Amino acid sequence: MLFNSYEFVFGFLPVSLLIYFLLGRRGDGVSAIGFLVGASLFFYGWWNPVYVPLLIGSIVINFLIGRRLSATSDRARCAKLTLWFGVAANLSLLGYYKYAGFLAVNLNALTGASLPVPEIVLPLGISFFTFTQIAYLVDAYRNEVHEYRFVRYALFVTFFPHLLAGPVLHHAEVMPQFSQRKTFVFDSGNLAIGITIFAVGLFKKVVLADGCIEFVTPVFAAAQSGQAIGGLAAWGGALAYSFQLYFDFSGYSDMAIGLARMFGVVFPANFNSPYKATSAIDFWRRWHMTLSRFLRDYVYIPLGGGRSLPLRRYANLMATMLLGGLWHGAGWTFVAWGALHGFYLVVNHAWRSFATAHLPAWRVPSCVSRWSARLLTFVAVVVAWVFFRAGSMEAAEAMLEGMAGLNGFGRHEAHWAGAREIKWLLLAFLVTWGLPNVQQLLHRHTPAIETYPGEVVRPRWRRLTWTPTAGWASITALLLVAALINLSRVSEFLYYQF
Amino acid sequence: MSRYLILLSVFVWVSLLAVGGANYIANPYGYFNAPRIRGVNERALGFNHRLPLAKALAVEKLSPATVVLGNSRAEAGYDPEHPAMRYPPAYNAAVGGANMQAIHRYALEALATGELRHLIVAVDFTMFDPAAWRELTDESPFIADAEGAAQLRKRQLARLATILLSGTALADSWWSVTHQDRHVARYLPSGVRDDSYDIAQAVREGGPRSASLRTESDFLAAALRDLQSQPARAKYARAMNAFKEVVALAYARGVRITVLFNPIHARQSYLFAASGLWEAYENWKYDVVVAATAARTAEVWDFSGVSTCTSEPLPAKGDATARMRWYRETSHFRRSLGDLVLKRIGRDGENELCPGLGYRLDAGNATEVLAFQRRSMERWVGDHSVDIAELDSLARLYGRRP
Repeated sequence: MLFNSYEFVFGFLPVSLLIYFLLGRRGDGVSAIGFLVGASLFFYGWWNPVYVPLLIGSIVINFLIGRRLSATSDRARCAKLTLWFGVAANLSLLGYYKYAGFLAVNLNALTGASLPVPEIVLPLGISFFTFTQIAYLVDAYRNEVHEYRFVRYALFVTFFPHLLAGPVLHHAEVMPQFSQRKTFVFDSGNLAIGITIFAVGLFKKVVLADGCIEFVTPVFAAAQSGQAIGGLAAWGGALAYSFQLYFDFSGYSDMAIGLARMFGVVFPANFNSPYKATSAIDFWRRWHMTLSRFLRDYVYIPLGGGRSLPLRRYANLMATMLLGGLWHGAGWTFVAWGALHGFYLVVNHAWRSFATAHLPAWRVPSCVSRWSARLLTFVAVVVAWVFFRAGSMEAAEAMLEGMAGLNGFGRHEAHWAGAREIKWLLLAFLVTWGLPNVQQLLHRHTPAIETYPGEVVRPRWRRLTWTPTAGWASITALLLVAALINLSRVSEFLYYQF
Repeated sequence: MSRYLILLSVFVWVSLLAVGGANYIANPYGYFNAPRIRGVNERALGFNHRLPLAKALAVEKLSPATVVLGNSRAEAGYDPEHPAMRYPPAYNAAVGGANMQAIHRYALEALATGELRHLIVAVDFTMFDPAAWRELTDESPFIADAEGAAQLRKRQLARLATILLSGTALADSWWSVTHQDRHVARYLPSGVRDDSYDIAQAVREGGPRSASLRTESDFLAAALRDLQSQPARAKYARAMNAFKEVVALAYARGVRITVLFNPIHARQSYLFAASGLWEAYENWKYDVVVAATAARTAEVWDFSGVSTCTSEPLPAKGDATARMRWYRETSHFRRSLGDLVLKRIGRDGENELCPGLGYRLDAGNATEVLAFQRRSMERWVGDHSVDIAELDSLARLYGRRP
């Protein structure tokens, strides 16, 4: 089921909320949690119920392994073996569903073999629930898990706001909330905050992200079919896609955070105005923050992190980002995207080290330097998104050729919508660079757990801070209605495919 | 917080009711039984922007006994209110630019009403162009299942929400209300397109000859460019399978089916020869005849041969105000000729106005009729050297060779 569908907004959500809080009034919340697990499985199986048993099986096995790891006092051999078994089982599941076809195609191309290429339908959200559970197992091994009730664990994994496309939850943030009684008691404050965040997310997705599609699809399709792309069309398409992806995914994350809040649960923040980043390092502390935190804690640091020698550190960064790229999709374009971001991070770290050591007095006015750095970072990110969106390396190459001006620039280029596209892009720039994000807008009400504490800057203007007044109710209603009347063209979230 | 929630609910529901009310009153697709108000909703002009949706809605609402399917030629050419229509009420569900996939989808919608008795499918070679084959990605205008057997309640509700609560419907409502008194393209309640706007457009283009040259150039530039490659053959086969499925479904439901080869102008027919496509064109016709007559209740009529009407001379170049009797330009025939076609298939015998218009085809006589038409075309070519020189030079311009 999609968050941006009539059946979800007018059916599933209000009914689930009503039953959840009615059950929650009973006391310990076990029945409310049980109901929410059932509702989440229903939500998951709405499209294709075939994979519900797979999800349940994954939860049961991981829970049993986690409990065994937590119960083992000996941290040495036996526990390590159990952990490796658990991680390998999760990665095998992910590998089979997500990478078997990719592997077969490349082995065939490399060796000339003719291995059959399996046509496997990817279970929704498999990348997300696999990573969530791997983190749980690792922490159970480290003896950092203190919750052993199956129903709470099942809700932690299946809770429908995050099940399909994140945020990637950490058990320590969410599971303790399931044992607090106040979570199951109706709170009009939570509902008001939750609806407001949901409205912002729905607007971002339905109005802003879907509004970009018409400037993205034709130009990338033309690149895929081998056409030469003009400079304006290429830049227009790449910028429009950058905004589409941002509004789509951050909109989804806002909706997830808002929905969880309606049920009394606070999720971690997943975006912090990433296009305001002033460096590649800064970008990854603002974009898909829960994934970058996961990669940092469970890949980069175990590899040695930043404590080793510079070359080793850069290699670790590169490996982490390559893995991050591959996580997004089984294709060479995703590998290239990950490699490019790895490269950006390496250059960024190297520059920092160099500047700290050799240019201590090097300064330019802060506003100029901030905007230059922001623009440079943004352009680098846009270039990388071309690989992320392109259907093949050849298509990415065609787009980049266009962006480099190799096919010239002309007002009447094919796939360039002229004034309409310019207006749309300016609006997108204004929203991303000029307006506060949800965390800033609702900072007085702790809309989300700070994934990287202390990094959300308070908005400068007090009027841009949400308060439960008639004015804000009308603004929220406007966003909600604008989104609802544009729901008729139901489209999938871009991140579902990852 | 409670006050905030109450205000928010009131604002949202009042706004949604206002949007729904505005769309209901403006009635841009003519779906609701809203009171008719002059200057507000007398003409349902939402057809101009959302034609596939509007026609699917009309089929559901009217549950016609006869449905005409086809592309822009059928859309403006065949009048469902013609007396030769045996099973009224009839509706013209043809949609400009339709390929066989779209025809198939609309046939399912028509069958799903349960009232259909006669299906008229008007076909052109370009509807089977492999390059025009597109899988239908937007199913939202449709409510029938893949068998044309049932109307899907869930989709029906979603479609209702689309036309009542959507921003696109609101934009169409606004456009419809503000253009009531303007000269814009218009669809009659029977679904046929009133061609007065298109004729005025042809005048603006410089008259029928200029408009014809434009459509002929469009054809030469893009249509039927690749019929031989493996993917093209596969797409052609899929289009033909979609056609066969329409015939089979109609036959299984006891629905009479009439297949028409549209009365295209002789200049358009010649373009097939000038593009080296004549043999493929005849093969296509033969394939259609064989596929259609597999169902015993199907009739196939060919109006595309050279006749007095289909060889109507074009006015001189630069004569912007001249009007042709049977065509608005050589790509689109007018309702006057469509009426003769409907009369002919209604068993009224050969028409005095237009001798030679329309032959009934079956697998047995198809080869003979096609050979006869080929000879007629050769005669027309011999008699129209100026037209031929003009079309040959145009074909060369687009890299086409006989």
